[in-house]
Amino acid sequence: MMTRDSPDAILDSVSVEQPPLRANQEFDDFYAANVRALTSQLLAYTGNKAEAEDLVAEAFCRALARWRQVREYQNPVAWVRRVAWNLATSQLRRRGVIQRFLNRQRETHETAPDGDRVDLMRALAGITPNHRKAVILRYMAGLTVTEIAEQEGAAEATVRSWLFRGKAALAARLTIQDEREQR
Amino acid sequence: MSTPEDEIRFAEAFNELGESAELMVEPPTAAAIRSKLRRRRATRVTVAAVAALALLAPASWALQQAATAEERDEPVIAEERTGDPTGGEESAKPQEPTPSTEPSLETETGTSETAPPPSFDDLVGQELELPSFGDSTELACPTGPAQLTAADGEGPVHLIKVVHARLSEDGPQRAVALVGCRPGEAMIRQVLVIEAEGDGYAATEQLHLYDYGATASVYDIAPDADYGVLLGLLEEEPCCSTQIQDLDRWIERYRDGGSQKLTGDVPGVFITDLAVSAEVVASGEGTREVVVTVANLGENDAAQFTLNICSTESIRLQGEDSRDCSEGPAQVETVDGLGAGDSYETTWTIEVDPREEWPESGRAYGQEFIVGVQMPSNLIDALVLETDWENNRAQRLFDYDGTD
Repeated sequence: MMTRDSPDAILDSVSVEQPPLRANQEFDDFYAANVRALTSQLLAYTGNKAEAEDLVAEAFCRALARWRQVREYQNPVAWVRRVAWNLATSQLRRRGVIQRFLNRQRETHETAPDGDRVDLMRALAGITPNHRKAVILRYMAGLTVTEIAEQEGAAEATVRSWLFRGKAALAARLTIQDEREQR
Repeated sequence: MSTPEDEIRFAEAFNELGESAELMVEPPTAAAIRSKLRRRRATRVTVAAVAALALLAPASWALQQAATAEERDEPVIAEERTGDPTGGEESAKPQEPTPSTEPSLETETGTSETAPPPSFDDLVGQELELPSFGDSTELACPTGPAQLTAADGEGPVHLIKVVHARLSEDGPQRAVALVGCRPGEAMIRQVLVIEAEGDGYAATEQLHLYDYGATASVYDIAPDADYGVLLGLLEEEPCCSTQIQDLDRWIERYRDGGSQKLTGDVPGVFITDLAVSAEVVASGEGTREVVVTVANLGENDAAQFTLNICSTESIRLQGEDSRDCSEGPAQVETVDGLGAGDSYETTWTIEVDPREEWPESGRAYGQEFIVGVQMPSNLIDALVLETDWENNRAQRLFDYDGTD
């Protein structure tokens, strides 16, 4: 079992912790190189720009807090991405948005679409969170099935299933849009 | 479904979406991230100082004085904040509650010496006034009053565990409760003494409160072998991406109005990692044999644990109704502990409806069942901690064509 410092020692360690300048620059470069891509992925997932920006900012904030450790990882951006997606998943779960998405999905299957234009963002909003997450990570983030499985702590077969179903659901919605546009 | 043309279409569509989204988003600068972290650390330093004092001198808390409590408590905390956090021996000593301001249950009811302290079942569903869960939490975590619900119950304030213990060597048995509420990502927990009062119950003392930014969260409580209460503490409430394994953890013993960190091995503590897997080993007409295996991957013995199941509508445990996962899992088995490195195996028969009877959504998306393992701490008088939640459930999918 690990030991714990006294409260005074904790205060000292917090107050004197200052990353060296080179680490500062490293973090800045890392942030600049990845923040927009990650935020756009979270925007596609949550459908809310401000929320996506907040989630990614929080993830980078946590990375900065332990930057000396995170920078040593083989793939620091994977760590930040995982934190951001976990935050997003927790947030959606808390708000009950998952249930609303599921309800919308059921409604869509039980009744024919009413002719509203369905673009990719709206199509994404209409599929289940796991399926949405899988297709965004696959096609926007460019992750492999193995990498998605690792991030999500799921079996590769499960991720393949998410992708298969997610693509099927998206394709159905986008096909509806295409057909209506052709008429 | 997944032709090369589809792949190209998806790749192109998401590429366009990504490009336009990247132009649309307005992330803060790296300097703003630094400022955010500095503010957070500054807050933590302040709260840590207060929390350190609070741990050394837990505030006695009386509901009957709730009307004046806020006026009284805030200036006291303000004085402590401005005091020397590295104060000398005098200020570091735990302070006894002021007897004259404490309600005396004994004198009010005259029955507490003989009445047993309330149990978990006594308190679930009860409404009682609680100390606040912290600044700006009243909306999400109402405390005046709060209705205590079980962990899987409706309502924001959860009763997690109740133990009975004597807090002083010659004192009476008292009910000590671990109560939690989740106003945001992480749960805020507090440890309270709860006693009978009139026809109901009252929280009469707060032993510990974890608020955001504080330095310790109580994951579990247990009665000490002699007297006092053991508090299992983590450096912060595990949440979201936080791995429990990465958090500092320790045990304190609360006695006589103060707590003390324990070093060395503490007996009767179950901190370990259970992992569950489920494999379909045989198929019959409408049934599947599923072998469920629980492995204790940790270095310590596991306490009593439960195996649970939930599923989509066309799958169920043989002879049972199907249990929708949105309703929470149904308990199937209880197992009396598992040694470090050992495994437990059990075989279940599940029923799967013929595919033509699956609802339309089931045919489109398949059917699945989920097996979970839990080590509920409220079943035993010991400290229990599951260190890795990610391997606590196993999911089996019956694909859209009925195979598994």
